Amino acid sequence: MIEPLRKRRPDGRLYERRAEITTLLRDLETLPHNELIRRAQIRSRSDLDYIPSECLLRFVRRSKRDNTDRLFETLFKALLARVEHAATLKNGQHYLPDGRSGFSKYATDVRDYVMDRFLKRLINDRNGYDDGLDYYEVNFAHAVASLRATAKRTSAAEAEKLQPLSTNDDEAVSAEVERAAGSFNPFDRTRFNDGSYRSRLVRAIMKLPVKERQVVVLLLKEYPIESNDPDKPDICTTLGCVEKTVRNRRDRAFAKLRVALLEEEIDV
Amino acid sequence: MSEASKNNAEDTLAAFAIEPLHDKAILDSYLRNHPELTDELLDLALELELADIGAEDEPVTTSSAAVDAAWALFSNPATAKSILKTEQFNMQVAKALGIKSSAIAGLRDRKVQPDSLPTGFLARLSKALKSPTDAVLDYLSGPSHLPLGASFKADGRPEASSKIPLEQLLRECGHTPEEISIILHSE
Repeated sequence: MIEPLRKRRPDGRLYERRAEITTLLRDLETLPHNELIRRAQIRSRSDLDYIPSECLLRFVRRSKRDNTDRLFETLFKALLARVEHAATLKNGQHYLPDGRSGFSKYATDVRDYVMDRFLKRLINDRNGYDDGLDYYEVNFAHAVASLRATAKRTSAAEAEKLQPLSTNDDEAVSAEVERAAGSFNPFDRTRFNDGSYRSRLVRAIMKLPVKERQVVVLLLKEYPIESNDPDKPDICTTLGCVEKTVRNRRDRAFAKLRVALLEEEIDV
Repeated sequence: MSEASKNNAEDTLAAFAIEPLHDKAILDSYLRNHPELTDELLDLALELELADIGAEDEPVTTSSAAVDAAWALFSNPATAKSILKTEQFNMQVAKALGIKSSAIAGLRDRKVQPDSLPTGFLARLSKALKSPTDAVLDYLSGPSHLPLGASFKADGRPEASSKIPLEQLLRECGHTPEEISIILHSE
């Protein structure tokens, strides 16, 4: 019997696990412990016996009060390893001259924040029921991504890792910026469907100053800069600024993205 | 940000994250219902673009040190009986004890040396918090900085010496010597 989740959407409907997860949970329940231990330790997603993190989490939550045996420890550690993996910024790794590798303080802070918050939920859940964990049983990767996004914001602020100096928004963009932005459209559909391009683009957007980044994200989500229909949200209303400011931010951002993407292409 | 509002914000962002789609309509509805999280939602929308692209098959590699630390914390019996929650240290408790809000915040933030609490005060605190005295002492004995991260970020536990006696906390919070005497010695 796979117990339903308890978290409800604002409209009252219960969240549900994905169908394939429920089916797999039913199968996994019938496995002997040693087989479950073996499968929990598989680390490659392409392995047919790989257990999705949503399933690991459900087993850990279900046996929260009976957590003394080796099975529980294996499941717990496998689950936390997944959290750590998802919380580790791939570009945060650096290599030392002696060949060892390490992570930047920022990357370590992000990882620790995500692991702390997740662990805190698990501890809460053991002492009762933390329905915040239900999100992770619906889509583990995305729920962890939400923690990671918060961790990045928090860690950047804590480390006083200031955003690049922002420009005066009211100041018109220089002719140089205008030329660089030119007719460049980073969301050009012919390139945008290419996963490698999209990945490089998103990483470049993440490096933009926050105000420019917000404009670009809204453009990415196809928000109009300004809309005459008050029921249709636009970038100006969402960010609370005038059209000229939005256009200036966009132009500066596009100019930077163009350079960043071009540099990467040259590197390749 | 209090633990409760942190959890609420976290819940909203997780709910957005697990939506099957993150198109304009979904983003719109979250921005409309949670304008206070505009910055967070826009950053998350971008993060999710990357999460979707980056779902390639790469083996899970971990440092295991962080995982072991998490296990040590989880399997420690002290965390198993962590009945007291930060939110329990509220104004009602402050009123019941006759102390200022800044003093209850100091207790909440574990700034006080547990052994500096007179028995009578501990009993009243325990009653006001509706928790057993050993749970109160366990709570106060924890590291004075709330985030669990302290246990990962530092090589050792934070110094116990950073805690202060209850009397000093009350003084620093502006209680008069007469008030302090009443607070400390009433049964």
